[in-house]
Amino acid sequence: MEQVVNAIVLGSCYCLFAIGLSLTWGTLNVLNLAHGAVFMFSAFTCYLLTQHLDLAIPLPWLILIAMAVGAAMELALDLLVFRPIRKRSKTLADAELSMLIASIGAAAIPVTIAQKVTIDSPFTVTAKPINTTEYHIGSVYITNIEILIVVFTLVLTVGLAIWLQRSNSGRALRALSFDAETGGLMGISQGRMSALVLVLSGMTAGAAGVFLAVFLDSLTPESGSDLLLAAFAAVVIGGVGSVWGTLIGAFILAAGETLVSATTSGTWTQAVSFGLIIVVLLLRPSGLFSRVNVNRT
Amino acid sequence: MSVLLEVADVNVHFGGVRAVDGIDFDLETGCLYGLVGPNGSGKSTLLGALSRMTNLTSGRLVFAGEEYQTYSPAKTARMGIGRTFQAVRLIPGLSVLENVMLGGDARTAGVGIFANWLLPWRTRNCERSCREGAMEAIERLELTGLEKRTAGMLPYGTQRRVEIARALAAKPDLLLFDEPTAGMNREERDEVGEVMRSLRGQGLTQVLVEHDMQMITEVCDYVFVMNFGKVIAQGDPEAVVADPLVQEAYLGKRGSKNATA
Amino acid sequence: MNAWYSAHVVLFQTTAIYAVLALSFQVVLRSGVFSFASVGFFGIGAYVSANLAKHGVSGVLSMIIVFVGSAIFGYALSLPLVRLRGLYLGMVTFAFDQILIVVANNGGTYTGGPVGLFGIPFDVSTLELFIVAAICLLLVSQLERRSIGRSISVLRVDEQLARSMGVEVNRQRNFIFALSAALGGLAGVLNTFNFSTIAPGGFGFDLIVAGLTMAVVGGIGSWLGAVIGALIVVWFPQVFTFVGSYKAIVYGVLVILVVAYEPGGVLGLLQRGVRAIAALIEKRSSGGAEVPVEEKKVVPSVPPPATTPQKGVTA
Repeated sequence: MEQVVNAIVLGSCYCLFAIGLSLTWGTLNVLNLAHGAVFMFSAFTCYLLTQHLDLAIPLPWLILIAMAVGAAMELALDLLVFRPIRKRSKTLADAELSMLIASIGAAAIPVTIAQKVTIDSPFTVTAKPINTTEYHIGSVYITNIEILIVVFTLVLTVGLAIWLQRSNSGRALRALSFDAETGGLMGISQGRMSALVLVLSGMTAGAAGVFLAVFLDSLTPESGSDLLLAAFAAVVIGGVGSVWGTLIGAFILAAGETLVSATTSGTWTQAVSFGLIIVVLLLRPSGLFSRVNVNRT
Repeated sequence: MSVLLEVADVNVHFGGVRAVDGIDFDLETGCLYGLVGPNGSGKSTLLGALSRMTNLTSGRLVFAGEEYQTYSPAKTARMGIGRTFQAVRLIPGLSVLENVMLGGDARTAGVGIFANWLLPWRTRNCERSCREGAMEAIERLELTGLEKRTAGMLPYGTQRRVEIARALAAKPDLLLFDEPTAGMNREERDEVGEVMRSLRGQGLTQVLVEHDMQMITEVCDYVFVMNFGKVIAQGDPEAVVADPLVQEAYLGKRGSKNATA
Repeated sequence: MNAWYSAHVVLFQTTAIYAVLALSFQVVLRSGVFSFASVGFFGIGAYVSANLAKHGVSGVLSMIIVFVGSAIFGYALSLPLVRLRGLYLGMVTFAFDQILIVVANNGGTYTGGPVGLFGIPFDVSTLELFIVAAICLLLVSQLERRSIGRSISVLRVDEQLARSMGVEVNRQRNFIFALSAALGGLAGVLNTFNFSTIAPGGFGFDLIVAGLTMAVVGGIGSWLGAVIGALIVVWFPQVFTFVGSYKAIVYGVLVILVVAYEPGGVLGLLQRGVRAIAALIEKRSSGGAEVPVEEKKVVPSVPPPATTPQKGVTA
């Protein structure tokens, strides 16, 4: 039972992280490999505040700070990197490749800074005062932080899904994901939408950063690229651009990983994501849960 | 006259839409065919099917005695069926000559990648004959002097002519034109028409998809009219134009829109 | 000169190794195949050759084994992957690199776990290193001219057009992928033999960044770009020592600037410069006469409003 709780919490963190990746890919055709670096750096900022400056910041504030850092980073990424590329690229494929490469370049910056400061060692985020309470439900132990992570994720995911379906901006986004050109003709500003999506994805990445740092106790400057692998799996299982799909994909992955780490020595857990990616992409390239058949050519 | 291309009961369905619905015809060597019809009548889809860019739902395609409905588009091209596209599709960064030579490669492209490492002299000979063929095509389309210019920087009409030159450089046996003169002015159209006539004189079989009825009547030997995926009329251009069925397809219920002339 | 050379011989060696890795990236990017698998194959080549060396296999032989083996493995890998386009391929190959690090960490005595392998005998001389790099450059440069060169450039810009020009697109992509894998593996072998050590950290995210920097900043249009890129990446920290261990940041910024503002890379910049100078000279020699014959403004390659007036059917 303990494992089930672990899987649910882990799945929530994956989901938070993967949603931003899925949205940017689905709506903007950007595979943002800097997403992992943003995630790591948001947690890293909290680490600097709590450990280096020795500030006592309660967890809710840390979450807000991380979300702000994440949002600011991805906004900068959009304005300084993606926008100029989009403006100057001649074809969509050109823009896709350029933005993919540029996002790796951009990721190098925060990763290097973090490596330098931590001297390549793991860091941890401690919210002070952190009062962990354990609850017993039958035979299950669950801490208040774990509950917070799961509830936060579910509320955010459901909220995002509803927002995408109901609100004007959400509809505009979905229109954009089908056809940027027509969207433009309909008066949807791609620039503003792109900024909006990246800010959203930065906020979720930031929250995921703090959560995972607290849940796992430690992160490394390279955690971002490890997590990217997990997020790829979640996104691919769920279908690119689908919020619900990402949620389900994240839980499937977390369940698989928990199972593997419970039955083996634990160092092979990442192979689960890789295996899932390969299997899903080869068998059902549009994702297990996507309704629209995304054009992959 | 011998039959070059046999199209037998070809269907292309997209979901429930019958874009091409049971087309049957033979094309004879050395004729210039016109393919007309209102927007969405299935002309371009049929052209796509003939060049194997679009998969058939059912039917048979026979080119010079060879059944090819299962071939890849590339193999179809190498077999000698060339085509142009509705939109200009040059490689903007390459020169005119290189773009046209791309067409010249069509018969040999992809054959023996390793030859580039092991048999450089062979590829050199290929290159020479490719260049010669390309220069010929360039001359034919009156592009001489522009060989070294970057294709993307040329005026629109010139780019279209480069495309036709590229298709010619492949020395196809059957050439499918998908609205080759779209966006050209009258004078440029007439020039292209003349090129087609002279190619016909040399025995090249051509299919021309075109909206411009004047061009069709002036250039083509035989015309197919499509609507809703079917051939609704065929025959001599003058006669087809006068066919009430054809007039209805074009003018239809939408009234006298576009009925100039 | 000689003293300077021997003081910097490591940098020369690294340049040769990195040039091969850069070629591995450049070959795929030039064809419009979004693959980062080069780094994974670098790791495979490095570990395989270390293990071969343990069993007394000579350097040249293990280069050949890895080159051919990587090509075959890469080709096999490309068969299922060829259906994936664009970002999906980028994602899978990135995941491939990541998973190989996991494998290396768990490989027991074959990989030495997180510590890696060390003390592998040096088995290539600097001269051999340069010969191998030169052969690779020759191989790749042959694919940039004539028919094959054109077909690869059209592959990146317009796949459907490539098909209509008789190019078997998938077969070509498989071939390119295999070649890139072989070059990546070879770079790994050279790296092992030259530095006598390999660890999982040696082919991680940093190497992807370095490889991309070389290919992209140098210019993906040509093998020459890969050479320029390797020179930049290897010698830049040497010349600008103040960058120190922050060099990855400089690479990151460089990559962003190049893809956003000069997609041709340094090579493209140089070519433009040469062309401009040539035009200037031509102008001089023709006594300032007008050079452009019928230079028209750049015309958008979008057709004017598509509806050409139909000449009604009633003739």
